[in-house]
Amino acid sequence: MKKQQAVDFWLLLPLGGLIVFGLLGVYSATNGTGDTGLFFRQLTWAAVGGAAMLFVYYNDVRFFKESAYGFYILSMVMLVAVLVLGTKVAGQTSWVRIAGFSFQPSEIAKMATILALARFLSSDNTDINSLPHLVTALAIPLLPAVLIMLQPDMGTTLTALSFIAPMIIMAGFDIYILMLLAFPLVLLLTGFISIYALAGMAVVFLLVLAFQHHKLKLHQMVTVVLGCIGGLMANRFADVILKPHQLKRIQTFLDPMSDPQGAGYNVLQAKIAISSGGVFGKGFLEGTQTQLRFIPAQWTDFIFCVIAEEFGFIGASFLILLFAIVIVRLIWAIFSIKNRFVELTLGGFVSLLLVHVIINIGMTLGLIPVIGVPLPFVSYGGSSLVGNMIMVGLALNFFHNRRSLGY
Amino acid sequence: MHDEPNIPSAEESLFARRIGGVVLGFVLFLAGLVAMLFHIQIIEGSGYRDKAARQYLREVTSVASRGDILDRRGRMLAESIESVSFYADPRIVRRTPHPRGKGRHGTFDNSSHIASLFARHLGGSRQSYLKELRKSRGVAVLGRKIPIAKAMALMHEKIPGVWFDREHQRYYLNVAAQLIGVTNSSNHGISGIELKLDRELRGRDGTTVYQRTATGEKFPAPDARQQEPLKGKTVELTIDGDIQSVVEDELAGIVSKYNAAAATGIVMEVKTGEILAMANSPTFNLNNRSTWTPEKARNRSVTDSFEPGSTFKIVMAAAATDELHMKAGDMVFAHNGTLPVYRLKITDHEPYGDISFREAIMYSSNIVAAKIAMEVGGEKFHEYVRRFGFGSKTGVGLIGELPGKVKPLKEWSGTTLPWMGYGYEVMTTPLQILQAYAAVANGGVLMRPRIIRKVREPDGRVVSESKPEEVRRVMSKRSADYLSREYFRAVVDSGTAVSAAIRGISVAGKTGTAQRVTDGSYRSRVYVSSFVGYFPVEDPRYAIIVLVEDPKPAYYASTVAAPSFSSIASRMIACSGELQQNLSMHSAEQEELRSIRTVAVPELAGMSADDAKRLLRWLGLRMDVSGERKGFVVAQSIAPGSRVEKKRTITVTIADQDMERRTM
Repeated sequence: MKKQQAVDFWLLLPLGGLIVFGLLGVYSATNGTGDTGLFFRQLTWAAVGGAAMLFVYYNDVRFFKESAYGFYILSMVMLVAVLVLGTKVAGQTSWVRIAGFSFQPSEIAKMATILALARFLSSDNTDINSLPHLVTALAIPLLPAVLIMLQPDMGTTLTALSFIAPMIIMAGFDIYILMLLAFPLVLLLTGFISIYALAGMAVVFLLVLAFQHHKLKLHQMVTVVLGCIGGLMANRFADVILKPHQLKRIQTFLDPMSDPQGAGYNVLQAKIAISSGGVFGKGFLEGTQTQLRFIPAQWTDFIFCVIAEEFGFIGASFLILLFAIVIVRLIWAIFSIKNRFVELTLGGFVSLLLVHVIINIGMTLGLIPVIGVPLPFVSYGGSSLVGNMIMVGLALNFFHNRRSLGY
Repeated sequence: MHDEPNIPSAEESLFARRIGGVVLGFVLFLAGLVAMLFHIQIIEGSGYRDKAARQYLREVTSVASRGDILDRRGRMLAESIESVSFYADPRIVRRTPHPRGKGRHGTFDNSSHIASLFARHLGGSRQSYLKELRKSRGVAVLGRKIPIAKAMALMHEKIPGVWFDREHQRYYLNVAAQLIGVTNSSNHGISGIELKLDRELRGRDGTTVYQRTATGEKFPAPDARQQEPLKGKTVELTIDGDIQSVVEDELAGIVSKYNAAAATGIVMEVKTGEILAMANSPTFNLNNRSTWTPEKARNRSVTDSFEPGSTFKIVMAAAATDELHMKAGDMVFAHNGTLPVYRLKITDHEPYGDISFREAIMYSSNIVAAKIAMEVGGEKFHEYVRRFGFGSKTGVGLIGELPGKVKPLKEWSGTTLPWMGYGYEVMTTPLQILQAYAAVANGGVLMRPRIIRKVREPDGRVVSESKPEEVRRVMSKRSADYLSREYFRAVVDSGTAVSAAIRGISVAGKTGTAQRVTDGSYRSRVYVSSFVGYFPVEDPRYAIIVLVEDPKPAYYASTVAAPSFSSIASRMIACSGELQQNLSMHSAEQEELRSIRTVAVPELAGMSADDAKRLLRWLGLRMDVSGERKGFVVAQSIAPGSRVEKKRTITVTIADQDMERRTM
């Protein structure tokens, strides 16, 4: 048997590329602002992440499976601790300070939750289509989601919920039931945006459900009607439930030019920066919108603008290509490695990654409302970088041990 | 490691299909992002690039300082003074961000600090600045038109929400207002020399391209072409400021004494054609635009033409000498005061019978002038008129100059020639008359009058320089000298213009008292009284014309214009060592002149203390202040127009009236 490849370079090299892109972006975004310290801090975090990757890579897969619940409990304790002891930054209590470095437990909690959920779902005793097991499977990610929501950090909460559906579907959950559960929720959220979108969505859902069984059943109708009522309530009481800035974001998303100096400012500035980059970009450290700090949160949530302005369409497309390679390679791994825990872990991670990438770039391009989520590996932020790097390390570990795991 | 049970193969294909679908969906979504990126960056790109540039680029024009206008001795007639105005945005001031690097967040109210700072540097109470900064809307004005020296310290302070504009203010010595002209608020000349030489004076505005950050900080863009403003060129006039102010003072005197509508005076250097003074009364204050009216702003020397009357007899005299070879002693018959021509008649103010041709000019007989003109003949006479430059612009280069009016020969009626002989049926400007006499004084050579001497770069390099220019020889030198000696000198020595004499200097000249057409007839008895003369007759150097419109009740030139000629000449000689040298006067005469070495006290009311002091210092007078130090002159110890010896002290009273100096 020929010696099998130890390291998956299709995963490692794009990862390196993304991190380099991120460091360039952070350097440029903080250049001339007196915040260059952030670049070196990010560099340090990348090194920490590298060390963590090595640790994860050389550890036994079973260690992670067996410790999954332990990690989960530990991270829940941290989430509670951050609510009690955390530092408040921009209205959110998401950070704990350890030895001068701010640390965001929610980023790590997402990873621990994926591991815990994967372990639970991969267990022989688990039947996802039985109610108690389903409730348990939902409770595992919902607990951290609630704790994160209390910080309050809506963006992270949304992403923390993003892997539930893919993972339980992978575990064999009936999509039809999921639809029945998900539709009212989607309708409720749609209600916040627009009453017309709600009506349209309701019709689409009814049609989808009808085609499933070739005729509309009572419980289907009840589901959609309940969703609609929820949506109407959400629409009616949006200003009570949502915070003013969240309401504003929804309005701005629907019409960015309605408030170019206020809430629409971010969207407009992002668009100006990106489009002014053109095909080849303005060059590293030459982006006027970046260097003159027109872009909001330019080294965190809107870092994609910096890359698009300075490296142009070519650079930004290359960045998306790197993400595509990482994601496709991870999905390929899900196919290749016949091990439920591995499949579920990777599935959760891929979902998380995709949701981040799509929401982040989507909001930057003005496709979806502004939700504060970082661009994985690229945005400034140590916890997210280290957390994601650990997961990639785990994937590299799985790849390395693919034979023994069931290749 | 094989403790995990594998997924049953029945479900495997379903699972694979699910995953495959998921991959496809996500890859499509990523491809969608790239497509969106393509749309934004490449299809919509250029529009947004402009938007970006509009957002961060700010082009700031720094207006060039306008060039100076100097007199022939290098004194400032018009200069640009840079001043600075300070403004603030109260909303920014009240919410000033804490300086970066201190780790503090949020903002603070910087109003009281700014108020103290401005009160310290610019004066005024701290409260007044605070009040201005408490405005809820609009821009707070912290200081207007502050001299740059005073503003310098504040300009170096970098206070968020506070900025300044540099402005250029034109400051005039306030002589030759009509000649120099005025500028508009955008620094462009709109009349006089300011308009004529606008291109030279304006300079080139500078542009600075700034990059503006999202927080409103500005710094010069590194890659943009920055252009420093270039100060306008310096224009040096032939005007002598001293002589100009003497003429202005005299004219103001005549206008008020004879209740005249207006008066014009020009002083010209005979040999070079350089204009030493060109004054008009009434006039306006160049530094106070509210005194400007179209009537006062006209440079009558070139823009108004009149039927000149007897001063035009120079043409007749020249033609008689050259063409008819008439001598001063030749006897002519003056028809005892009345000569019928066609159905009209020509009259003399006094009846003369047989008189010499010299006497006919000395006493200004219209009848003789008409007869001689007819003897010369229309064609020859017309030629002489044109040779003296009448009917065409002098080419002095002033805006609005009229050519006057000389009828073409074929349009002449029977009365045109006799009437033209004594100065009617022809229109001339005061400058044309002066130019003609200066030609006789200059031995028969007509010089082009000049007002612009040099144009220089701000660093002193000469761009252009005007040289004396002969237009043509009008008559032989012999005839010209004969005219001076035999006729025009006699006019002053014992004719109609004895009052034009200057002690110690021989003067030649001619009076003119012309009735003026008003409402289409001569009946309303409006007169234009003028005297034009030159001196010294032996070697003429200076020619002067004084022209008074509608003096009342006296209107004869001998009474109105001739004395002021004498007065102007005496005073200009008195105040100029150069003139005295040129005239090579004897010591005894110098002594006599000292008694008239005086200056006229200017009108100071309404001027700021600084302006008044400048003006007085320039005239050689001293100023003493009573009352407040800052404000405007409300009274002066010696009345305006009074002649006082140089170095006298004028005490002015200053009050802090709420009177803003207009600069528009």
